[in-house]
Amino acid sequence: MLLSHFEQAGFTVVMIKFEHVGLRYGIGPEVLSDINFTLEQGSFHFLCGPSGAGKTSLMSLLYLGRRPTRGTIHAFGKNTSVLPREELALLRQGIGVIFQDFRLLPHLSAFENVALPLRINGIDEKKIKLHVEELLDWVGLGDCMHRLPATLSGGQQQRIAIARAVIANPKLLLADEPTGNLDDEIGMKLMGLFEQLNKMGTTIVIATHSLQILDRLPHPRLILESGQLHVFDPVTAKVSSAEEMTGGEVQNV
Amino acid sequence: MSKIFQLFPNQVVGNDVPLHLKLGTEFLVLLVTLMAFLSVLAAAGIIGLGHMTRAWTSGLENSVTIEIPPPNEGQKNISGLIKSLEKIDGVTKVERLGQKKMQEMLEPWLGGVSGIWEDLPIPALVTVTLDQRSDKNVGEIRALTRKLVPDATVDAHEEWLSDLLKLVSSLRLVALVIFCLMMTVTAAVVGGAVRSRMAIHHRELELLHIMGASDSYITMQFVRYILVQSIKGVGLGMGMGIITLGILSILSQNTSGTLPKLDFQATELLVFACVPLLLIGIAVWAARITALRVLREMP
Repeated sequence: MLLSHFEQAGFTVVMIKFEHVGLRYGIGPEVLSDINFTLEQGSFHFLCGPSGAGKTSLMSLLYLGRRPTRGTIHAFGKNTSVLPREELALLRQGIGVIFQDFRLLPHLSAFENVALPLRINGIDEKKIKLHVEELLDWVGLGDCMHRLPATLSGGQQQRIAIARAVIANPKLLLADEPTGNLDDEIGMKLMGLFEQLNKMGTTIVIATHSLQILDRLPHPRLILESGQLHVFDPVTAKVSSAEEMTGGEVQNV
Repeated sequence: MSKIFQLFPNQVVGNDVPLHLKLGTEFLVLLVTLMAFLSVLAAAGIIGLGHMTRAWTSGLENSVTIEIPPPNEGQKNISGLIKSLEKIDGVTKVERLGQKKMQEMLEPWLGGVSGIWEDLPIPALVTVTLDQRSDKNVGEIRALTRKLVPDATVDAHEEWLSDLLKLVSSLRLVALVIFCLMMTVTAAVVGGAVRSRMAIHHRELELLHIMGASDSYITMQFVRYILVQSIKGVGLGMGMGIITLGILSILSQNTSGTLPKLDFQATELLVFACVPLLLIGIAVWAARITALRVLREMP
């Protein structure tokens, strides 16, 4: 309701805003230096960069899995550096993450893995059953829902990971190399799913190396190199510093 | 059991963290069993020593014995002394030990030979019973006895009674310290087990954390695990303790009477019932505090 109010009023709703964010591990050098950018509600970005450029670190900051060593991160209109732990947990419930290594819980069945975010959100068991079965059917795993991840193929595990990330209808979806274990056809089908979710209003950031995907989908690319962030727009073929996309007031969504 | 958890917000339905897997921390039940067993024995010690104090002091703490050496003029004045002592406040009974009773007391040393009692210089013994012992009434007895029978000795059993009470109090204190130590060790053992389980399942915890699980949601899984393990351990330890106390109770029935019987009253049985509840409560509390503390180290 609040979101549509802002949209009707012509506001751009900022989901994530990084201000002079830096990250270092221990006493080592900064892996991310002075990162500034914003992600507007409903945007779709690819995150690219060579290995070791800090993509995974940036993703971990985006899903609020780490606190930056300097700077400020605003998520859904809230300054995360001053939020109490319980409120940070609530913010994380609005973020879906697909990990490169899936990170499924091996002792839980496909059904239980997908149901996990809903249980955490305190959803009623009857609704959980209904939604999880529906989503597993949709990703083509309706007949595997009671199997353990170890008994499923890499592609099936990846689809469970994707189902788990989207089951709670996240406002922000982050995916780290989501097509890495899939053949091209399924990979593109998966990208179609992300496009659909994006059209429904989900903000999406996908870290990928896949040139095939980058060539076919003309979404802006966040390019991370030596801890610095640049933006490349494939439509205009223009590279700009990430600061230039910093704008718009952070709205509470 | 599941109904208990439904009382908490953020119900835990599944086992998101695989705490049911045996990963080297299952000795926890064994340790809790040992703690429960020792706690029961310590509690029994505290209560049993209380019985011992009461058994040894009852009849002595409220009595004074006057010994009048023979041959003495005072022996003739014994009835006068008895009458005077009866008038002191707090004195309920004054009684001279009869010859028959004296013979019974001395028989183990002198044998049952008749005819020697008249020749023996046996002192006269007067027992004064008090309703409540106080320095005032014991002092008055001493003063009156000194006045009427100057060479009589008054034994208020103070010296050895106080030593005995000091000894028993020290033993009770030791038992109490052991009991408190058991509780502390239980908390430390549970805290260590939770910390080690959290280290083993760090990846799962991190994932739940990223998905937006609150600290209380994750903590509840560890609390539930510890609750189940501590119920098992405390049940076993209590069982072993009760069997041991039962055996000691049977053995105490065959003693000469110097040692008190191990019979517990209803209120004391209630204290025993509190031991497992206390242990389980401490285990759950330690699990909760430790889990919350470890989780706070996460961003």
